[in-house]
Amino acid sequence: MPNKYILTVSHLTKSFGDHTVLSDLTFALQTGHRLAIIAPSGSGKTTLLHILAKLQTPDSGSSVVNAERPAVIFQEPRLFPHLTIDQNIFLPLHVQRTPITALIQQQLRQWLDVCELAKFRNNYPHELSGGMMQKVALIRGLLPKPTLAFLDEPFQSIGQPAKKRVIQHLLAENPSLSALLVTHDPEEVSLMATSTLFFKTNSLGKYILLDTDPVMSAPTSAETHFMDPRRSYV
Amino acid sequence: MRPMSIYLTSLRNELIAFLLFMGIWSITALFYPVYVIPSPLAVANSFPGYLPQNFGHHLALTGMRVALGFGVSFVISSLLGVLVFTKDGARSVTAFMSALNVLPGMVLGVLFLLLFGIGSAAPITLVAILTLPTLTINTINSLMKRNTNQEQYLTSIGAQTSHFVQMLYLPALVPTLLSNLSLGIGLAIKVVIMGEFIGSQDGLGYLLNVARNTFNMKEVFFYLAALLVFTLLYQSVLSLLSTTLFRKYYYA
Repeated sequence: MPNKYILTVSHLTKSFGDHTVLSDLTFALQTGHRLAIIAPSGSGKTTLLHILAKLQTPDSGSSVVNAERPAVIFQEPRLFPHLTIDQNIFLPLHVQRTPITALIQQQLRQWLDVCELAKFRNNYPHELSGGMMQKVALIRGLLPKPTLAFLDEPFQSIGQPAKKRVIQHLLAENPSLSALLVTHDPEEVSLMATSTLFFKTNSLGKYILLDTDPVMSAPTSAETHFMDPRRSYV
Repeated sequence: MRPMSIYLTSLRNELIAFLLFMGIWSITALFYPVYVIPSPLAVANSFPGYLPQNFGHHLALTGMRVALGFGVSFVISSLLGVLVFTKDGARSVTAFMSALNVLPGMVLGVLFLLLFGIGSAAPITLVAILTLPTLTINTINSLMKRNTNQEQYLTSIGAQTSHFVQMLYLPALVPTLLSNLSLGIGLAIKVVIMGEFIGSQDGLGYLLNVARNTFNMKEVFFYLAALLVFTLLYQSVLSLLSTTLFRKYYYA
């Protein structure tokens, strides 16, 4: 039976010099849920994702990820310039020694059609536009069908109509995907997130987010900021 | 662009450099008598009368010494650069190489001549030792400037050390290795000629030494022009490689 929580974050704190970006942050994410985080620039959203992906270490606190290998989609495509688009996309599968089956090839073709990249499979990244490269990065992260994804403003350089198509395809291909989505775009939230966490301050913390079925006990003094993306909010 | 037109474009730069050199030489020769600075035309007209009969043998020896000395230095510097980078010893080795870099070639040349005697060993060792610091420091610096974003991505997908080397470190090194080949060969030729000058009885450096001692300036200038032509042809091949086969590594 899968864990009820795919991600649990407890009292996470991280500072850079005098600036504390994460301050005693605690929350949990239910399996299959997709949480959007909206906060001012420099408030530690990217740092949070990096800590959860084990790319940075927190000063204190802990996080538990109940997924084998979460996908991380960064703000920038981070493609390898000496590899073709196909080679870049297959890189995670190659690293994890996953065979490229006919099914994966078929799913890749569908992704490439949706992203209008079918003609560019043998091209190199420098031959593509920024938006196209970001789509390649999305395909590379999502083709292996991860159970959990950390998405750091992954759609920011993709145009509106394409963005909608990509998100719809993503959810059709992997409907049970759990995700933490950092974004500034309300449309992305309404298309993708099942819940939203807003921060008005310049650091993430001192807040307890509970899911819709709050089994985790929260300190009574904690301020809960949890919103349903289908409702309007201020 | 097709490979041939790319090659012609890269050859154009070398051709411009050659014509510039020939122009400066021709103009300078106008102000001096032929026994001081012979013009390119005078050198060409007397060719090959001033050359020794076994010129090919001397040329081949110099070529072999450059290739061997520089080859050893290139391989050692590349391996050493990668090794010290992965073992966190970059700063110590860079400091050591910087110190090695200031040793005067002339002094080392005499030292190697005393150690190894007359022959190929002295110029080969000299070129290997004198090109090693620059090439090693270049290699280490290029690895220090690798793309940390891609490194972070590889970490996020659970890549092993071999993947880092294959996907990140080696591709990051390609432009530097080509630059080392370009930068190092000029230095290597100069050092081998100097080594042959000091302690050899064969090779282009030896011939140059004999020619200058007998004031056979046509022969001296022919050797200089031959070195120039070889270097420019070599550079054009490297230029072709960097614009075709290795072009994709320049976008890192």
